[in-house]
Amino acid sequence: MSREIFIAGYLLIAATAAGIQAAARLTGRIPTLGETVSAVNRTWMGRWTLCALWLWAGWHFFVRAQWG
Amino acid sequence: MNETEGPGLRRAGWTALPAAAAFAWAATSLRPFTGPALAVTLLTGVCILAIGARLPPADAGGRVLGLGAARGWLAVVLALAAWEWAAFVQLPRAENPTLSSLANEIFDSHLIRTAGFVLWMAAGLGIARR
Repeated sequence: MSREIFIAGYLLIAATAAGIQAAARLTGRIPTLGETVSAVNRTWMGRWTLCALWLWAGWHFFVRAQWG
Repeated sequence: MNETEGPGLRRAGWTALPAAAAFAWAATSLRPFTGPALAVTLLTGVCILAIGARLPPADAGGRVLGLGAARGWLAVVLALAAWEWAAFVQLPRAENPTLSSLANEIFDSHLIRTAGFVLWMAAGLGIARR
């Protein structure tokens, strides 16, 4: 039961993100995900943080994984 | 039309997709927790960042929004972090899945793993490009 609740939570968060993205594209009053990432990327620390997170994600999901 | 991106760059991206997919298939064939998997992933990361930094910057469409306008996205990130943490501190993992454990299940399929690697490379290009 707990598993279904956690997965439902992840799906709800994903649906919320999709809703914000759709609202951003339709209204233009809030930034899209891409515009938000670009804004973070404009700062020195944000850029290094994003690059580090991205490299970590590759290592985590494709090197330190438990598939196969 | 995106002035800074241009049709040429977009066409080059689509042209490179089959080669990127073939490379991703090979890269994700390597067994996890091995030196070759680590070397290929890290070298790919470094190359992607180097290539992305040389690409022209993406067009912001004339809109420059401050981070303050991104409160909704911050809320999404915080909610995801809280939910992930709630799952992480509980066991057994099968009943309390984290994103990583769910990814392990999904990435059991080599095809999906390949698609994930291609998306990871594309995201890196986007980040490095600004």
